[in-house]
Amino acid sequence: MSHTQDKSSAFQQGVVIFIYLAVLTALEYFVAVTFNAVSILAVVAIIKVALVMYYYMHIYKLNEDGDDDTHSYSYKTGTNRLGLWLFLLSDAFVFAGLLTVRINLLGFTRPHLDQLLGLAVTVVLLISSFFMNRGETAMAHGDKKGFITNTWITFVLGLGFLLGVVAVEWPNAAAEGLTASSGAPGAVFYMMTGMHAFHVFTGLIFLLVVLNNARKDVYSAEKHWGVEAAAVYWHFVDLVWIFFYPALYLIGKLL
Amino acid sequence: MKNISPVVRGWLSLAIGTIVAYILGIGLVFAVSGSLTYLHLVPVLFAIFGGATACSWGASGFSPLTKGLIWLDLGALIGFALGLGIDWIVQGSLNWVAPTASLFALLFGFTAFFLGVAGFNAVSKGLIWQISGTLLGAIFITIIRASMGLTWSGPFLFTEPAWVLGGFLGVLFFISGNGSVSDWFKWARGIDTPEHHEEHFTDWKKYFNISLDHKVIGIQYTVTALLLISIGGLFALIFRTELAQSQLQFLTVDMKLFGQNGPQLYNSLMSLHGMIMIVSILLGMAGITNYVVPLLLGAQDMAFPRLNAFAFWVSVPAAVLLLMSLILGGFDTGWTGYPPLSTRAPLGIQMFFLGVFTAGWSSILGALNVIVTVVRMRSKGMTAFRMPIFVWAAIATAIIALTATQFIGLSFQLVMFQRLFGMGFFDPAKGGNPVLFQHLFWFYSHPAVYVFILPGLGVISELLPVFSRKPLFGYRWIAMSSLAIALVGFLVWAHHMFTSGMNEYLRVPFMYSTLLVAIPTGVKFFSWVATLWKGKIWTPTPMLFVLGGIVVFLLGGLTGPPNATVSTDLHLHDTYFIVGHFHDTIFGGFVFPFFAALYYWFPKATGRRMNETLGKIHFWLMTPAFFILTFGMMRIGLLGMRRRIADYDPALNFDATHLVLTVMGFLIALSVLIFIYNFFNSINNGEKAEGNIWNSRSPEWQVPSPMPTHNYDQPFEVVGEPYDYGLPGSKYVEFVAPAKSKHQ
Amino acid sequence: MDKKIFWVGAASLALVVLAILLVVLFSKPVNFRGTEYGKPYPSAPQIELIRSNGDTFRLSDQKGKIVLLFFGYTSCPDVCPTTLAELKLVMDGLGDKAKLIQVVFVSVDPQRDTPEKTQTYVDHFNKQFIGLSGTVEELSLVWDTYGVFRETVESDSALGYIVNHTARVYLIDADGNLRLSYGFQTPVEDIVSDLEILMK
Repeated sequence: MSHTQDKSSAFQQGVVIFIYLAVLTALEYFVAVTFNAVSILAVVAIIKVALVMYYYMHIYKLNEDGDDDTHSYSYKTGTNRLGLWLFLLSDAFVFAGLLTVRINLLGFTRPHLDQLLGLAVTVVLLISSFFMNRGETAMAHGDKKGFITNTWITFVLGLGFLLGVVAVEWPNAAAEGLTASSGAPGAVFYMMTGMHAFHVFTGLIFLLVVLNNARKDVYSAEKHWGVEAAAVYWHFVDLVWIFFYPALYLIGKLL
Repeated sequence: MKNISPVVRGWLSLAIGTIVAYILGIGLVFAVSGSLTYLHLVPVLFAIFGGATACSWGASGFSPLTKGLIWLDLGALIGFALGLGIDWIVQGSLNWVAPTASLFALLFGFTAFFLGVAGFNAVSKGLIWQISGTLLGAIFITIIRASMGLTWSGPFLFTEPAWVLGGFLGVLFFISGNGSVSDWFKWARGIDTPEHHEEHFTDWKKYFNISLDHKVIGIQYTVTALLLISIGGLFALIFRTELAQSQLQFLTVDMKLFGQNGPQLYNSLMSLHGMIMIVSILLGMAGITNYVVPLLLGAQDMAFPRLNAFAFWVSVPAAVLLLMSLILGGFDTGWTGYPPLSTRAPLGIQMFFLGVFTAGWSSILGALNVIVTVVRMRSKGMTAFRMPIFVWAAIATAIIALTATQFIGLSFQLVMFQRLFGMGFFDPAKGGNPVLFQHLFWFYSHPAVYVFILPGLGVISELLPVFSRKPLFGYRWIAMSSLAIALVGFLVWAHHMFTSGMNEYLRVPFMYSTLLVAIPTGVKFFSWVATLWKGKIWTPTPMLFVLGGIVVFLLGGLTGPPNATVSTDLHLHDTYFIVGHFHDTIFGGFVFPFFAALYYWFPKATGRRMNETLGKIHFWLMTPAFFILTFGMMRIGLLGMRRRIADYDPALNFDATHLVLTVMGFLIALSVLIFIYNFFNSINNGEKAEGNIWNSRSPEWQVPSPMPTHNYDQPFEVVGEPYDYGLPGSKYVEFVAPAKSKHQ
Repeated sequence: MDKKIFWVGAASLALVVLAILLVVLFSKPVNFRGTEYGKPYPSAPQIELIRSNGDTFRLSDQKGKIVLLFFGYTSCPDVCPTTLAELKLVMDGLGDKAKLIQVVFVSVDPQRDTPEKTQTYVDHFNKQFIGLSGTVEELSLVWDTYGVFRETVESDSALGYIVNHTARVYLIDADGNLRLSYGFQTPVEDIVSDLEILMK
């Protein structure tokens, strides 16, 4: 397995991309407060998605020249990679459907939500993606300890996001009258955040699995498909939130 | 007795067994109720199962089938008694028609059958786990509700939330308990599993157990599909009997079965006929695809063998859930499950939603496997346009199934949550929108019909050159047309909603896009005609079904534009014209090609042919019956016969036609029965057929039948065009020495 | 590290800035839902008619309030009652701010509609509505200056003839300018939304 860059430049790249994502998020929030223009938010979201898909999820690997030997580990990894991305494509349709539901039922309005909390959990998830990338990069360069540390941080941040949504935002919203049965806004809010939270939860389980296996020295720099899969899945979960966050918190007139 | 042939013994035992069991049933009912009823469900069921068991014993002694049937009978009786007892305790009174009793009878009987046939196997183990998981989940919710002071029991023993969690857990327990995910659990613990899973079973028992071999899985899918076709067909025969005459009350208002009276039962049977048939199509199509695609590509197996096994095994609990929906109160919405009716429907609708959701996983994951296999596992030299045409059809189908299926899952999930938690997605009073459901539902369900027919049309394209001894005309065009149909198919969904009250400006665009789909479909037709033109046509049974499929699908396709055109659809929507249209397209696009594929590849799988005479009888019985059926449906549809109603006005003068439709239904059922007998009997008794009996150029026919375990011991390389029949000296594949890989 | 990455960052930022610029430059500051009159907004032609209580109604006196002007007749079978009912809902939807809006109904059927009959008619919808009629000459002036189409047609109805007429609602802002108009069956929330923008 060849590396186009060494570990420290890969780490640096991860930091730079994170900075871009953070700046874009700040811009997004600022734009939403000032202009309330869906088109700008869409552009920002698409750029963020492109950055994550290219630099963190390394989608270009799908195009890599495979080994000629179809029984080799690297060929099989390529096959697995295609399978994973197709799975994510299919899953993306669920979230696309939920976005459709949100637009159809709520139009250009949005329920009243705690903006600071929304921004906070978004930032937490973004940072978790940064550490996930760092962890995967570490493993790709054979740094088991680096992988475990960074992935544990990812896990904690991910758990923080989950609790932030389910244990803080949900009770807050319910206290204000936005419950699952209070009407379409409530139903949409809980279904969108709930489905996303479920995927965060499964992502956390996946992280625990690869952490445990790494501890048992199952992975190496050359063979760590499980790590790549967990990382790509984790970034996918972040990707969904890149769309869901503006859809729930930033778009539309307050009801 | 030994001197009498098994066939005669079988018929004799069938006759005696049926009569004896029937009398026993009547006696039982008399003992309990004091009245003599001849058409009561109990004597009828006794007659059917008793007769079947006796017939099997007479024909084959204590074979696995007989043992299975005996276990089934006992299991059902024990289950019934158990369910009856539990219901008695909970409700406080003895209710002979308690749905719980029927449910336990179904679950126990079904599980017992597989125990009897092959002991503890993946099916019986899975079912035991499913029953346990269902009970566990239901009891868990019941305890929580009871401790919170909420109602904790209902007419179906448990409350709806309890059954929903139970149903869901039942599926999870089934697949974890029967071993279909055990390798993945090992990987999660860092344990590697062997590359080539050695088969634990080498005889027929392997079909009842987890196998990673795509050929075994393909057969498992196919047999399950045939089972579901029989069940779905049985439901149709029952409600067609009700429809045979306008004053006929076969399913009477005062009968009570599964917590439903006659008309309610009609609605449940009608709804489930649709969905069970749809699931059978998905499974049948998965069966053919998973069996054939690796063979056509020259691969040893699918890209993800364990995923393949999982996708099959998850469809079994899905089917169980669908059947449970009938018993747990049924539902009246038709297979489309629209709210607000589905929001108010009985408990059965939740099992229906769960069952479809679960079957959706099977479809999605199977599709994923197909795409990856075709992209990554083609033989050397097999460029895109040198792939067998069926592979193109499979890819186009898989693209749809992978993506669109999520939308029906989502739409059903939203109704489930609306029922369980009051989330007002489709409730106008809460700001919801019922038409939104239809948009979400049909965004999958229209492309779904292309999932149903694209593989079948691919089979037609694949088989026509073999039986015309001519190249496939317009191969590239046909290949692209499959993709075009898949793409355009995503753009037409609202043609199901012209009368729904959706925005009027949407009607015309969707009319245009729907009419557009006829173009790539037409490309296929013209190519087929050109393939047949001046060919040396020979018509063994597979070719009969191919030709029949073409004609039937043509008729179905021609009745499409009147439905697509808004002005005419306003009259045709919800009439039997639509019913005729989709039965035509489904039979032409799936059923006929499905049978063609089975007759065609049966020798490859078993090394024996199916009986030609029976095959021809199957075809010549089914085809005219089917034509009359659909013409009749379309006739009364045009004259105003509405869909989904249990009875109709005698003044409409539809009685004669309806009677004919019912008779045709029974004839079609008979033909399928003949096929099923032929299918299973030919496995051991069919004429040997170990070579390339169809003289096909396709790679799988260049190796002996039955197909070797690892498919191609010698890999092949593609050196020419697939369909150059009649071109002297042309070769499609050439077998080469195995590559120097330490892999065997 | 790859130099390309800095170009990626610069390009992303540039794209976002471009999107913001485009939106700022080309989007309307407000999103009206009704049909807008272009700038410069035409001044609403004067309407001067005697009310049922003897007072003179002048449109120019309504400056400071937004006027919703509608033309119809009391024997109108469908369009007028529907529109007036919707205008009532518009008033309801505005709550307190409704006192800044004045609905004015002008008859297209002077033969049958007296000022009293017209006022009584609109009172049934909302007591704040003003219903106006007059002689054919007085009303023709109004119809012509507002471009209102009217045509009597014999009908089988017991009411006698029906009058086909322009069914648009005209919105005149607090400065007396024609700003928006709404076709028949415009959703109530659209009118409310536009009024709220204007009242900001």
